This record gives sequence, structure tokens and C-alpha cells, in this order.
Amino acid sequence: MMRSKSLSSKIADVVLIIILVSIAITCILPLWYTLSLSLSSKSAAAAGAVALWPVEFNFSSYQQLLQDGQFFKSFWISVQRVVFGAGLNFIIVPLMAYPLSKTVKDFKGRNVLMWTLIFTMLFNGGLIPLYLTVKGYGLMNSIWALVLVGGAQTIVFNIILTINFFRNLPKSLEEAALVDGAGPWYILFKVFIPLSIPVLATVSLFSIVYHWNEFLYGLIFMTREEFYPLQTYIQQLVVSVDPSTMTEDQYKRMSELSNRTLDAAKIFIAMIPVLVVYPFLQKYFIHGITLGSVKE
Amino acid sequence: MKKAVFRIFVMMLFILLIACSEEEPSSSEEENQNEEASPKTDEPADPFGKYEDPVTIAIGQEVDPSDTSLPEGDTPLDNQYTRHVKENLNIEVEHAFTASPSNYDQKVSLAIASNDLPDAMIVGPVELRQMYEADQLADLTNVYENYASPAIKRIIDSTDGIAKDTVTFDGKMMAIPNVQLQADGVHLLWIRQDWLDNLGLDVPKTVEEIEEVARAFVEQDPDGNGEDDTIGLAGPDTSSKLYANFLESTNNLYGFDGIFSAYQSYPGYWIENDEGEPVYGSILPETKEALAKLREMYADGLIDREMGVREDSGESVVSGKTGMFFGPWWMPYGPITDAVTEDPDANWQAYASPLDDNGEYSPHMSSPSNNFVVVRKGYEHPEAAMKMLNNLLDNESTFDPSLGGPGFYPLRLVFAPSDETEYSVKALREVLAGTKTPEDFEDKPEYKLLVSDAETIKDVKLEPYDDYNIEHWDMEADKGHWTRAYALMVGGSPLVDNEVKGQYSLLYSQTETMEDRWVNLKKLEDETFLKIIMGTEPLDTFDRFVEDWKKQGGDQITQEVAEVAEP
Repeated sequence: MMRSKSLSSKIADVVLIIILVSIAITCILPLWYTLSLSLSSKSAAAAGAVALWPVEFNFSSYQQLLQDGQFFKSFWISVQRVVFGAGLNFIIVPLMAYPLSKTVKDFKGRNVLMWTLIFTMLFNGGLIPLYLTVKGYGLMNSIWALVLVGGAQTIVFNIILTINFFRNLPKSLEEAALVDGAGPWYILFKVFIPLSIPVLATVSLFSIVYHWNEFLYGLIFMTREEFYPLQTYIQQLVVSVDPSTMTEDQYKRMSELSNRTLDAAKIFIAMIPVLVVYPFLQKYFIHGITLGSVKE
Repeated sequence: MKKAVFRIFVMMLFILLIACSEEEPSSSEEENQNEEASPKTDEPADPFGKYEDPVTIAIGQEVDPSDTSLPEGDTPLDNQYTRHVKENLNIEVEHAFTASPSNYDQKVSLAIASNDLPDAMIVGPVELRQMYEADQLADLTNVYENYASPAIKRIIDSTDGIAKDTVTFDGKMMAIPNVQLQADGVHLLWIRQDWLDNLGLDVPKTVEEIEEVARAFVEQDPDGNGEDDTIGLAGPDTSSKLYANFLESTNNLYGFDGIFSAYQSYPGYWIENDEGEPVYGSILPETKEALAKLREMYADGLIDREMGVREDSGESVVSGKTGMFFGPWWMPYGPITDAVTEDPDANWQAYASPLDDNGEYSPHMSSPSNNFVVVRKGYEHPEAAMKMLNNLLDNESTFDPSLGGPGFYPLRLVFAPSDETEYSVKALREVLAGTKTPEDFEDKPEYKLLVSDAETIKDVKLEPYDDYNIEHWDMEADKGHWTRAYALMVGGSPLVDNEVKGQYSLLYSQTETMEDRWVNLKKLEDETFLKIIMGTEPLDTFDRFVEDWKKQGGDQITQEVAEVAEP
């Protein structure tokens, strides 16, 4: 490319690059800081001496982490949650989006269904009714409380995204299939789904990230630590406690037990799965979200 | 389209109606279940009696996820404490829920709001009030009368009825209160004595002198490292408050409690005005004066610039950047031990300072009780909870904390003689002077650690025994004993050597209107004061705050406090 540029547009480029790079840095810094902290010595972390580079570099917090049974138990629960949650999402989204992408002429109840879905997106009963409902279903301490409740609350957005994508697929494709004698199931599985990989990858990614990062439901629906998903487990370690109701020996115990380098190591390890999944799905991600947004 | 919208609207209405009408039968069902439970009268009341048939109690318990002190194979539900309870009382403990210290309050609130309660749990004053209002609590008046052990009764009575008043609603005792140290509520001035000596300064006795010392600490490089990196006076971090208040009256680390008291201002406390009527300390002119001074100090850079946003103000104490802070006597249990480990010359000393205009030390005083064991209404054996507490106090010193920390005892409340710190300091001084021996204190079992303190103090304290500066201590000999001894002798001494003219709050619990309004009023107060100190709002915002506070329910609450505080 041999395009000659005027001075002003060169300046603009430089300014843009500076802005973008600084945004990128503000995103990466917290991750980097967590990594540095996890590789520093305990006393340096307690004194707040760690900034960008590890102080007294060592791996002891990762060694300690390997002995923490609950961390891996919670990790496994989170993995299960993501597999079930994202799997369910992947099955239900196209099955619901396909009929709902039809017009009222083709599908009479469409608007009623659609409005019901949107209603649940805008309003909900609040935490206590949700808690009572889950308890009533006997789902306390069950992985399904996490999979179903979390899934139900995020799936509507995914469905809407997919509906818009389906609507943008050329009408003639479906008509051609109909002429060849294909039924709705055949059309969905052989025509729509293969063409919709970008949007399905996108909504799956949303679902994976959501199920991996969500911690509140773990806290509420699980009565014991052994059932906590990973982020709930980490949340309880890093939230600071008000010392006003403690006695001095409790405070001492707490400060002896508090181990920022170990916490940082846990946070960092917990970040890795999503970090790994992201690049694989990212190319679809950008493609998918823009494709669904423009209507013809 | 319009028709469809209308139809959906109608459908939603139906759903709402169904949801609402279903509510009714379930709530009356609850009422049937919640029949008044009175302790069984067919067996004689024995505080330590073992049940013939096993009794189960489902409790809510705080479990610290990073506490790994339990031996292999033990769990929070099966450890030396639960086995002890089972053997001695035949009570089987179950967990309705467990939560980490940071989430325990949230779990308790959830249980209260959803009326899905454990048989017994530990709550704070706010939740206690809520549960009483919601009629969720068993009346423990008879349980306490008949089943509390003499030792517990002695300790609770030693608070002049304050502990009992806190849990008494309409003449009924609705919970068992803990009793904690008085000393936990007094926030002393901790100061780097070595910095003072480096700069040739005296110990500050007034707010003005504190200001001067802070200025010197900030500007004159007291640590001699040639860098401008020191903080005069530390400020609260994200988990502490500007000042302790009547609901959380103890252990406010790095607050400004001392400064306020020196102006005889008691924000967050209910005090009597000159006419003998109750008023809220935060809205009085003295508080405005104190705020003005803090604002000036902050503007001059004498107070930590990052106050309120730091995650832990103790960090800069450990790293040797902070010169002064306010905290209770036990701060060596906190950052000071680490600070001395980092820098053996860090000579942290505590003083009953600053003094008020009359030259007196007049800090605010804490409630003896801030934790309560409550029992669910309808639970068949409310006395079981009481028996577990009796059992704890009676055997606490026989447990080995290395086989699981004391926090694993189900329904653990602290019962300590409220003068334990002061009493121990006096006793240890006599031991150091040689006028008493550790054996002389063996008849004082309620001071649980005193004999062991007396036996070990000479290991860590070097001669001269009446000089508490850091060079006369030997931390390396035994860090654990050093921490306690240093806390007592350095942190406890100011409480013994000075006349403490303490100011109590008229009330240490919530009233009815507070239940709805207090959260917002408190938020208004905290935000306004923080903004005033940090200079983002003018000082006169205080006057508007006072008006708003009164209008938004403050007047009504004051009325209620007057009724409750009426002797």
C-alpha cells in the first residue's frame, strides 16, 4: 500500500494508536498485577510492596495451591456448570429461535411467546422469591440450580440475537428447501444451523463466560462451601471483613490466614479457561454480533 | 399487534393474581408451625444436663475457608468441639448453612427474609431487631433463668445490665448476648516513638499537637531514607469506618475516633444533651468542629491522601510508611507484629491521647455485647443452645486450638470479663516487679489466659521491666507470646495509667423506625462526612445534612430513642 498521507491524518493515526494502546494497557494491567502478586513473597504482598514486577520471585503460592482440595472441587463444579449450561443453551437457542423467527402469519402464537420472553428479561421477582422457588423445587445444593436459574436468565438475550440472524438468512434458501420437500426439522438442522455457526458460537461464548464468572447464585443456593462453584469460592476469599465484631484472637487468626499471594494465584488460575476459549471463538464472535444487527 | 399486547397484559395480570393469592395459605401455615415453644418442664433444669435421647440442632455457622487447622479427617461438622458437645450433652449439631466470614451476614439476611431459619444461629444487633419484629424468635427468658450456668450469669451481670438490656424486648429476653472486653471500644493513639525521637518531638497530647507531629512526620523525613514517602496519620480503609457507632462500637481500625472525642464530639452515638434529652452525636456542633479540623488536616496532606480507598491501611503500617493511627489495645495482634518483623526498630507505642479541652481523656465506650445467639420460634429444645454455651465456657481452656481453631465450636459466643485487659496489665506488672507469682492467679479462672501470660512474660520482656520501648523486648524468643504481652503492656497500659472518662451510648440496638430508615440515614451521614473531610463539599454542607437527617426520619428516631432510653 503506497498511499501518501497528509500530516494531519498521520497525527490522527498516532493519537488513535496512543488511545488504543492505553486502553489495552488498562485492560492488561490488572491481569499482570495479579500474576506479579502471585509470584511474590507473602511479606512483600502484605506490605503492599508489589507493583508491576514480582518482589522476591517464587512459586510457593502455586505449590500451596496444588494442595488445596476445595479449589479443585470448585473448579470441577464450575467445569460441569459450564458444560451443562452452555450445552443446554446450544440446544435450546436454535430450537426456540427458529419458530420465533417466523412471522405471525406463519406462526400464530409468535407474538405472545415473544412478549412473554421479553417480559422475563425486563422484570423479575427478586432474590427472595427466587430463593424460595429454587428451594421449593428441591434444587438447593444441586448443580442444576446453577445451570437452570442462571441459564434461564441469560437465554432470552441469546435467543433474540439468534432470531435476528435467522431472519437475515436469504428467504430463497428456505423456499428452495421447501420446494424440494424438506420439513421444518430438516430445514433447521440442514440449512439454518450450518449457516448460523457464527451466531451460535457467539451465544455459546456468552453462555460459557457467564456460567464461569457468575458467583452470586453459588452463594445463595449452596448452603455449604463444598458445593460452591469456583468464582463463589474465590469471592469469599477476597472480600474484606469488617473487624468490628471480631475479638483480637479472631483478627489475628484472620490476618495470619490471609494470604494475598495465594489468592492471586487462585484468581489467575481461574482466569485461564476463559482466556483459552476466547481466541478460538473470537473470530466468530465479532462476525456474529454484527451480522445479527443489520436488518434488510 | 395491539390486540396481542392486550392479551399478554391480561395474561400477566392473571399470573400476578395467582402468585399473590397463593401467598396467603402458606403464611398461615407458618403460623401454625410457629407455636410457642417453652422449655420442657418435666425434667429438672440442669445447665450441664445430658439429654437421654439425642437432640439435633441445625445451626448457621461461620466457617473460614482459609482456616486449615482441622486435622486430617475432621470437618466443620465433625471435630473435637462437635464431638465434645455430643459426648457431654448428647446434642447432635447439623449445619443449616455455612458461610465464610465475609458472606455470613448475607446468608443470615437471606434466612431471615425468606423465613427459612436454622434452629439457632449467631446474629448482630440489626438482625436481632429484624427477627424480633418478624416474630421469628423464641422467648429465652425462662431458658436463661433456668439453664444459664452460674459463670455465664456472673459475666452477663457484670455489665450492669447493659448486656441484658440489649436483648430484652418488651420485657422478654429474646437472645443470649456475648460479653466482650471494654478495652476493645477505646481507640488509642498509636505512634512511632522512634520517629518522634529522631525529630526531637514530644508525645502529642492535644489535637493541635497531633497536627504538628503529623506535619513533622510528613515533611521532615522521619525515617531518614531521603524520600518524601511518609504518612502523618492513617485514615480508614475500605473495611473500616470514620468512627465507631452505636451498632458497631468496637475495633474500628484506623478511624478518627480519637480526634472526635477530643472535641467531645461523639458521632454515631446517642448521648444526652444539656437538658438531659437524647440526641444523635453526629448532628451536634462539636462534630462540625471536629470535621473542620479533619478537613484542614486532610487538605494539608497530614492525613493519608488515599484514605477510604485503600484496601488495608495496615499495609503502610507494616511497610513503615505510617507514623500515627488510631486503634484498640490489641493492634500488635494486627499489623504491628509484622511491622516489627520488617523493621526491628519500629517502636510503636500507644497513648491515651488526644485530650479534650478539660485535659481529660474522654473516648466513647463500647457496648459489652454485639453478638447474640438466637433460637428459632418453634424449635423444641431452645435450652440446647444455652447448654452448648455453658459447655463452651466451662471447657474452653481444655481444647487444643491446634486441632481446630475455636471458631469451629458450634454457636461460639465470647464471654470474657469486661476488664480482662486492664486486670491483666496490673497483674503482669506485679509479676514483673516480683511481688506476685503466676500461681497467685490460679484462683481466677475467668481470666483464661492470665496464668499462662504471667508464666511467659519474662521470656519476651527484657529488663528494665517498666520500660516498654521496643529495644527492651525479645520478639525472637516467642512471637506468639510476644504479640500478646506487647499488646497488653503497651496497648493496655494507657487504659490503666490514665483516668478514662468514657462516654457511653444511651442505646446499642435499633429501634423500630431505624429498621426502615437507618441504612439510608447512615449512608447520608457517611457520604457527607467523607466528602467534607476530603474537601469535595464545603464545610457548611454539614448544616444541610443536619436538616436532611432530621427530616428523613431522624427526629422520629430520636423520639423513639428517648422512649427506650427512659430509665
